[in-house]
Amino acid sequence: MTGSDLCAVVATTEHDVVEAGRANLLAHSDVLQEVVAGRTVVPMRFGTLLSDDDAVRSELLDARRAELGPLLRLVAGHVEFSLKVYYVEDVVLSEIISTDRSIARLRETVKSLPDDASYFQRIRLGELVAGELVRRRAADADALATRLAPLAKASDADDERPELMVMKGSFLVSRDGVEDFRAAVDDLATASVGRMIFKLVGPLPPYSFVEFEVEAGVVA
Amino acid sequence: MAVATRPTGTYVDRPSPSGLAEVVDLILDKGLVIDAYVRVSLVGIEVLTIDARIVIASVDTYLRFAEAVNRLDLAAQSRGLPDMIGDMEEKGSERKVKGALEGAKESVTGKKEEKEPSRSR
Repeated sequence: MTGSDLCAVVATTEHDVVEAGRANLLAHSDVLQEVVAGRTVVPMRFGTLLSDDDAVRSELLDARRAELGPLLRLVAGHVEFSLKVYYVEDVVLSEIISTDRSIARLRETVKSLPDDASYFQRIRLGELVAGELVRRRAADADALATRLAPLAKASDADDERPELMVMKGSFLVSRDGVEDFRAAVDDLATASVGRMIFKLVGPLPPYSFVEFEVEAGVVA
Repeated sequence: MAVATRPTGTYVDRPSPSGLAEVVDLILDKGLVIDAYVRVSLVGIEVLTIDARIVIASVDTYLRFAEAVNRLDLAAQSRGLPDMIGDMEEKGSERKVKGALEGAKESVTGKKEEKEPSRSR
């Protein structure tokens, strides 16, 4: 449906909530993937519901034109890639044990005790390991971002992630720049083979780059 | 779901965007939000949260790491890459979308984060 120069892709429902079940989520994703293959699109949050087509035109397209315009311009000609990088657990834990003396010593202590005698030491050991993982991954994540951010118009990384996840990032990449971006990720994965696992998803519609209050550029 | 079989000589796992597991966190957490219009229901909880949202450090996490370093055989680091990827998936870094709640609980190491991306209104 269209409202002057902006248009929206809508589906009709008789319900007044949108259930976050497999079918609806897939439909949302599939439609957006289809649209982004050929044109610029701003994904709305899953479950955005207005009363009818007229409401979409007046309350969304017309009322929010001042915000929608810049967002469309920001993402025009660009797609999103989601990159998740994980440590290979045994490899990084071995690194930690062999380089951190206090962790190695505490590990020896714990191994020498029966489980019921070592509860607090095990917690302490795990806490030290977690801390060391967070330290190491900061450096590794930084190196990855340094290499990839220049290949994207904008990037966003989640600070909140499991300890073994080195990076969880989204990159807004120009359609022309997709091959270079993929090649850079390939290079990084090759250089880290056996130590880190890379999972790259895309091209995606620009889910992560369409918040109203966010400016273009790198988001910490 | 794709595993790094390296069809074109790449070490990068590239699952299809059409796989729900890969995009469900983006679909639920991202996108342009106008709060007044978002009406999502998790009735039935068919979809579970995937990996990274739940990250509260807890005793359970620490005990798991302690257990992991303890059973580590420092001499044996010669497993092949496909094995490692399989293990990574099993260990809960990533989960496929399943109907069950068990998967969600497994990937939660502590309390669920208070801020839920989807809410019913």
